[in-house]
Amino acid sequence: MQELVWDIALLVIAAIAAIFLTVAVRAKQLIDPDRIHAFTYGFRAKAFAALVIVGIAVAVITLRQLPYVKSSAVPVSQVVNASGFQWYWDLDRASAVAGQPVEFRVTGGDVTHGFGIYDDSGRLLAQTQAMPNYTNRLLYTFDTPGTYRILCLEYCGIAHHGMVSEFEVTAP
Amino acid sequence: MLSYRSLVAAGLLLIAAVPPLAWWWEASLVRHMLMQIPMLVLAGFLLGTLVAPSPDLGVREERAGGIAAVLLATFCVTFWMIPRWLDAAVASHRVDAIKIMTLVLLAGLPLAWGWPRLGPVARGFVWVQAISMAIVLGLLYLTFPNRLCNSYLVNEQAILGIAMLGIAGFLGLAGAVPVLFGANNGSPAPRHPGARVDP
Amino acid sequence: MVAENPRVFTIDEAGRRIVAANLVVAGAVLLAMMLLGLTMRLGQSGWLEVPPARFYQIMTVHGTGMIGIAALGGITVMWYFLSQYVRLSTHILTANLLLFLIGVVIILTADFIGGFAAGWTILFPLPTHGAVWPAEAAFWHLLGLMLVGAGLLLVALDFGRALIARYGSLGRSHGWPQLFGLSNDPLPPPTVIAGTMVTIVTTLTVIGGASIMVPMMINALNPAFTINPLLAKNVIYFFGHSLANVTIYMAVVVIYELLPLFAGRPYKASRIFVAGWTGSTIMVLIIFPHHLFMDFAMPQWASGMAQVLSFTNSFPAMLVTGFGALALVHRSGIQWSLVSGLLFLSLFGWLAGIVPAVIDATIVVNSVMHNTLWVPGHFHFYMLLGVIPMILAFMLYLTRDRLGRSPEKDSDMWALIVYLGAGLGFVLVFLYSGRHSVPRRWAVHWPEWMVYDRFASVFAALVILAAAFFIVRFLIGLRHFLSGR
Ligand code: HEM
Ligand SMILES: [Cu+2]
Ligand SMILES: [Cu+2]
Repeated sequence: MQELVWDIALLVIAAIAAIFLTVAVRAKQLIDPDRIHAFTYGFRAKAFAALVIVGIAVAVITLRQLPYVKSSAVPVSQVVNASGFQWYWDLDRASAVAGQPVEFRVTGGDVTHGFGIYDDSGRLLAQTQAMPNYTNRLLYTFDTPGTYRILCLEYCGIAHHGMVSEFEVTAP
Repeated sequence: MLSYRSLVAAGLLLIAAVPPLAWWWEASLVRHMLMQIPMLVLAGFLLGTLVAPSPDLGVREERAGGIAAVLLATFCVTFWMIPRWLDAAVASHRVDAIKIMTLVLLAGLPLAWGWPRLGPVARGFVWVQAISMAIVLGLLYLTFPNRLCNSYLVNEQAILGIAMLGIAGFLGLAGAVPVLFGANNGSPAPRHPGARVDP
Repeated sequence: MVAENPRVFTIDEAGRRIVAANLVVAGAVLLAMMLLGLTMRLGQSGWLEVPPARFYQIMTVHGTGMIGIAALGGITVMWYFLSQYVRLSTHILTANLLLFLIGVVIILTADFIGGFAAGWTILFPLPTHGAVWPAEAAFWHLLGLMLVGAGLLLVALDFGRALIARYGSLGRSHGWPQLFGLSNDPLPPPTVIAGTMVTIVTTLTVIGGASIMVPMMINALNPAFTINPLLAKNVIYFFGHSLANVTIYMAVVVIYELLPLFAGRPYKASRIFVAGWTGSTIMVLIIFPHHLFMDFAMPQWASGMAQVLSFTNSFPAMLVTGFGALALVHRSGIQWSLVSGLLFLSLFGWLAGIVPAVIDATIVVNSVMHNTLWVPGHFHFYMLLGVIPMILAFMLYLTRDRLGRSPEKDSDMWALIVYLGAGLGFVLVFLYSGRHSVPRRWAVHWPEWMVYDRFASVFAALVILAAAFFIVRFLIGLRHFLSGR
């Protein structure tokens, strides 16, 4: 996901930069304002249509795979209760089996924290907020065994960067 | 002089401030905050419109006086919104008498004198503050888990909270509609752009 | 009604003085905050020892101060151009500056001496539960914010008063009768339409801000009073999102007003323009739930709506302002100068900065990008390369470069190139770090991330040099502006 997102962002930014460069470079080739008007505004209608179509397509695709767990979702055998405190994680179990979904029930004990699951290469896999008074259910299935880490992803005070816990995933 | 307004003011005072009825209003948090107090302020306001001289907006001091008067009224009303003082008014008749007098004389009356003396920016400022104060009170009453006032129950607090948010919404709409859709025709462009005015 | 852009802008003596004072303060604070930003980057890169408590104080001051000067500079730009069409008050603008300065002093004291470090977003309950700073520090920081907000509110109300006096209502100055076909009068000028939007959004923003800060201040004084954290977060992001965004809608009028002068073509409002700005007025105020995608307790409709609206919110910027301005410049024979160059650059920064923002406003992406450095990446993009160049262009226009008639020096062009190049490098490093999941707001970075931080530090230093160059130029030229030459 991260690679894809970065590539798309870079591509679109580059396209915008190219348009700006073209306009800047060709600025001195004078043309009658009325002609430019007709040309650009016809183009704008097309750009609008294109944006709408792309937007709808992206929305339809992406809105179908939301990370929110409904209460009636598949029964999960592995449940981890996690609470964030200034400045440590309190997990009632620190391991799970790969290949089967794990439900993290995440809350905050004092202020709001952020529960971010990282793999051992330092890639963020999933996250949810750890807010007092609320328990957020995050469903995640680990594909490969290994040592994962829970990092705090919501600023929670001056040792925020120290809130790291390990989470073991074993082979089934 | 017995005008329409003075009759209404007297009627309001009679209903809101004279004992057996006054205690009935005060028996419920919602009635106390949202009916009795507004009636008292309104009575003072109506009386004020009878006695206040019409403003001379050309005079700077008049505007400053207007701001001071409205500030006084704001402080007075805010004071009586604090749960501790509401409680005190319910517990002691003497405090209650002070509450009634100050709301009429130090809130309603100065408001009638001060409001017409405010420029549009100051009015807008007061209006906006009123909206956010209503939201603040609404949030506090709505989410405070324990009893704020000893004299009232928790469930009444929640009703009051919702009512406060409703008042905020009403104030917002009442302000927004004339501002967005008001029907005056405007005035010509300034002849000297960038010139200074005194709002 | 005035339909075309004025060729010459006029301003009286008192107006000149307060506009200059605002810009001097904005420029000075900008540089100071940039240096604090560099300090953070140096700390993360391991090149400089910054104790975490100090880092987070700096982070709080930097974020708050930057948003503050973006608003101060933006509202000054808006005031100057709007005063060409309606009568505005210099007293109010002065009051705003005083409130701003008092607020800044209080905030600096609360943060650097009081130790307050809850970040610029003051997410409840952290401000009053910082564990290491006293609740009074939170009280004072919030009070400082309230003063700054009160100043902005006064200016917005003065805009509203003046617009209503001139056009009859904000609906009319927004161009709504024409939009809905109820009137055939010429549309108000672009700046008036934008000014109306800014008036509405700023007022509502301050209402939202006060509504959440006062309860938090009460909570600081009496911890028994609490607020529901999710409700608080909604109101905070209503306020924070709207405030950070409205700064660009304030500053963007510099493009509407100055670019036509350089390009030699008029910039007129159209019904599409009105529709775009009306869309912005509404969408800016309701898309804030995209900051709460990772709060699974939010209603799903709110998250879904926020994602869709975050997409559409980019349309007005891209298709109305962006397109309009590019069409204005396209093959116009525009005179390139420091000012027109900065304007063009700022337009690019705004539009390109929308891209990573929109991407992150997609819920599935947000799951792996939220609160990584991708987020500072996107907002530094449109702040550092959008809002700030707009304000800088305005400063330089006032003080020296009237239509590029004063000869450009090579050093000017170099400064522009360095600002653009290093600025782009700086924000791309943030985005690239986000791609590698580096968390946001971490005082201490892991060794494998430090290489990014070092590149960013170098870019940041270069950006600061270029910005300092522009601001010194502005200060040197200030005499001419003040003398009303
Ligand atoms: C040379 C220019 C700048 C540098 C070096 C810089 C650096 C930084 C750094 C290192 C952070 C913290 C990143 C993290 O979360 O780890 C940050 C945060 C931030 N910056 Fe900047 N910045 C610069 C310009 C700006 C500008 C122009 C603005 C806005 C007008 C701005 C607004 C902010 C805000 C709002 C935050 C978030 C603060 C928070 O998390 O509470 N910055 N900046
Ligand atoms: Cu934490
Ligand atoms: Cu944290």
